[in-house]
This record gives sequence, structure tokens and C-alpha cells, in this order.
Amino acid sequence: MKKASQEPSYDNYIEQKLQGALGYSEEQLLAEFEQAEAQPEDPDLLPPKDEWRKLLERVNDAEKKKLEEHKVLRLKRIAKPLILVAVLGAILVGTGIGASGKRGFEYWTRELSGSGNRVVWNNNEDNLVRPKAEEEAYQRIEAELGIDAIMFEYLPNDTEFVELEMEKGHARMCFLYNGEYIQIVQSLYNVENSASTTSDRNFSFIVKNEWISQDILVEKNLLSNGKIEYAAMIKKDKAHYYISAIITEKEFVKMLEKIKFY
Amino acid sequence: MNKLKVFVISVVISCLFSPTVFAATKRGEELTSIRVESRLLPPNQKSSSNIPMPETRGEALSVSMLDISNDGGGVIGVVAMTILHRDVSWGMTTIYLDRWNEEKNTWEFIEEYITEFPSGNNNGETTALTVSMDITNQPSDFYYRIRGLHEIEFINSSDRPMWEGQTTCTDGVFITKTP
Repeated sequence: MKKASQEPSYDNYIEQKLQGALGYSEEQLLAEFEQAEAQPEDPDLLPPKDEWRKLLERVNDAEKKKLEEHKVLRLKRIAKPLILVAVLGAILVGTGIGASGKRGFEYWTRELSGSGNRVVWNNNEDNLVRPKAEEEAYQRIEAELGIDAIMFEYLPNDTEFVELEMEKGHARMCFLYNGEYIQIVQSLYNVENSASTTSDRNFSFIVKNEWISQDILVEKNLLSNGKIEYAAMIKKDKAHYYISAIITEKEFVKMLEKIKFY
Repeated sequence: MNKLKVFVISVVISCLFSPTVFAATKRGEELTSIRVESRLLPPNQKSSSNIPMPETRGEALSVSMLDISNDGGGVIGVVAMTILHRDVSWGMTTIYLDRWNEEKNTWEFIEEYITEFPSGNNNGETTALTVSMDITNQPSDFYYRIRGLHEIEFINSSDRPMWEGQTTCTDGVFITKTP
């Protein structure tokens, strides 16, 4: 309905413009043309030069203006929804950036503040090795840390030795059992006089080990996925040892009972 | 109601109820603070270790360890370990270095060091996140301590992306120029 009602006003608009441009109404124009046909030789009645070009230009200008008005109206109608969609899009994209871009397959480090070679990063591939046998790992721990290395006399079947990592007074051995890691960290440093190490407080039960002559305190930790992690800390002289595994209690007790120094 | 309004409302509703597909990463100051108290160890004690053992543990993050040591010659030795139960897709260790201000009787934050561990290490499997470094640009004859923020992201057994983090903090160790 709206479109139909606009068409007559558009015609009137062109008619008005024609009258404004030439000074004649449609009827007057028709009469003038008919008269000109009758007296073609009268120079006073000849149309001015470029008459049709000017007429076309004016008509084109009028059409352009009309179209621009339509465009403005359309933009005004959809401006609010467009802004809303843009804001929502910006929020979604903005919050997603944090997680993306952190993926990759390289190991790298960066120092945020400061510049220059002021921090020496010690991580390198030599520190992370996969000895052919656990024996080599125990030997290396004793040789490099100067402490008695703890070794497992018993590990459940299908336990796989994954790697040994050595870093500034620490040795970490990792085993894989049933899809999860058994970890043992052997450290040169004394923890007695250091910041809070609360293993003594949260223990669940004690395992007696005759090989190293210690009562080992065991923590039983419920994980967020409902599984149970068992962990224990052993201290001897200036060294300390930390063992953790997601495994049955029976197996963990058996492992601790058969721990001995290499 | 025209089609455009229906479309916009549909987009808003779908945004509100769509699941989050990435874990939120919390930043350090929310989790570890300069206001955490630490003792000043006797100057003859060369190192301090922290192995916090909370009663609740993560599904992938077992325990974190943090060490600071007076390595002599003004070198501050740092080791941070994040021990894992399973492979993780991403990890980050942030270490904050604090210096003891004797006049104000308080710890002052000096610098932070960030190590990021993108998916998989050189062996294709991440069993722990370890950072080891020597800080050599700080003045000697001051007490220093470090605070650690250990973060990981992984896909849990229910196939959902998870974030887990733990904080550590050592006691103050006196850093000397002499070996």
C-alpha cells in the first residue's frame, strides 16, 4: 500500500521539476510543440540549445535524490538491530581470544618484563632424557644430586617407565600405569626449614618400610573426577622424596613397602 | 514481529544458552598476592622449598613445587615444577620475584617470569611442567622470595575443557655476592 501511494507523488514531482526547468506545464508544452510543428521555420519558437540534455540531467538528479532518501530510511530502520548484533559479536569474539592462540606444538618461553640476557633459562633437551632402563636413571640421580636414590622394587604389571627429568637439585621420574602417571621427585634440598609443607598434617595412614627404616605417611586425596590419588613424602638427611599415583590403595601400599635406596 | 527482530532475538537466546567451549584463565593477582607472609630464613640457609599439599587435588594437576636458592655470585636460582597425573593440552608457570624492604618491613614485587607450555612437549606428551632459571640482574645482600602460579588446561574424562591452577610461595632467602 505504501509503495502504491508513493508513485503519484513521484510523478507529480517530475512534473513540477519539468515545469520549473522549462517554465511550462505539460499542457502548455504540448500546445507549444503542436504550434512549433505548424510553424517550424519560426526561429523564436526553436528550443534552446542542450534543452534535452538539461532536461535529462534534472530528471536523473531527481531520481537519484529519491533513491538516496530510500537508502537513508532503510539504514535507519536496521541501525539498532545491526548495532546489537555487532555488540554481541564483539563480546563473543573478544571472550574467545584468550583460549585460542595458546595452542601449538613448540616449546617456548618468554620474559614479560625487562630485556636483554639477564635470565638464563636452564631448560634444555639434555635435562629430559629417557634412559634405556630405570637403572640408568637411578645411577644418574645418585651421581648428579649426591643423594641416595630411591627405587621401586615393586611396580604393578604393565607399568611403563616414561622419562627422567633433572633440574637444579631435583630429579623427577615418571611412569605410566593404566593411562595415568606415577611420579617420584627426588630432591636435594632440605624441606625442614622451608615454607609450609603440610604432608604431615593430612596423612590418612602409615606404611611401614623396613628397607629404609621409615614409617611413611600416606595422603589419600579425592580428585574432582571422583578418583583417588595417593601421595607420600619421605625425608632423609637433607634430601626429600615425593611419590604420587592414581592407583588402588593395595597397589600403592605394596609399592611403598618395597621401596629401597638404590 | 518482523523477521529481523525474530533473528536478533534468536541470536541473543542462542548466545545465552550456548555452552562455553574454553576454560577461563584466571590471572595471578587473583590467586597469589604480595600480601602472602613468608619467613626470612637465616643467611646460612641457602634455599627454600615449598610443596603445598592441599586436601583437594585436581583431576590432572597433582602437586606443584617451588624452590629458590642462593647460588652465590648474586645469582638467584629458581626451580618450579607442576606435577601432573595425565597429559595436558596447555600449561603456564608464572613466577613472581619479591624483595624484602627492610625499612617498610614488607615484601615488594620486583619482576615476573612467564613460561608457557603449549600442547605437548618435545616428546609429544607432557608429564610435568618444569621451569629452571638463574636470575642474575638483581642486587645482592637482600632477601628474596618467589611466588608461583601453576596453571594447566586439559580435556577431562567427560570431554569438557578444564582449567586447574595452584599457587606456591617460598620463604625469604638471603642472596649473597660470595659463592
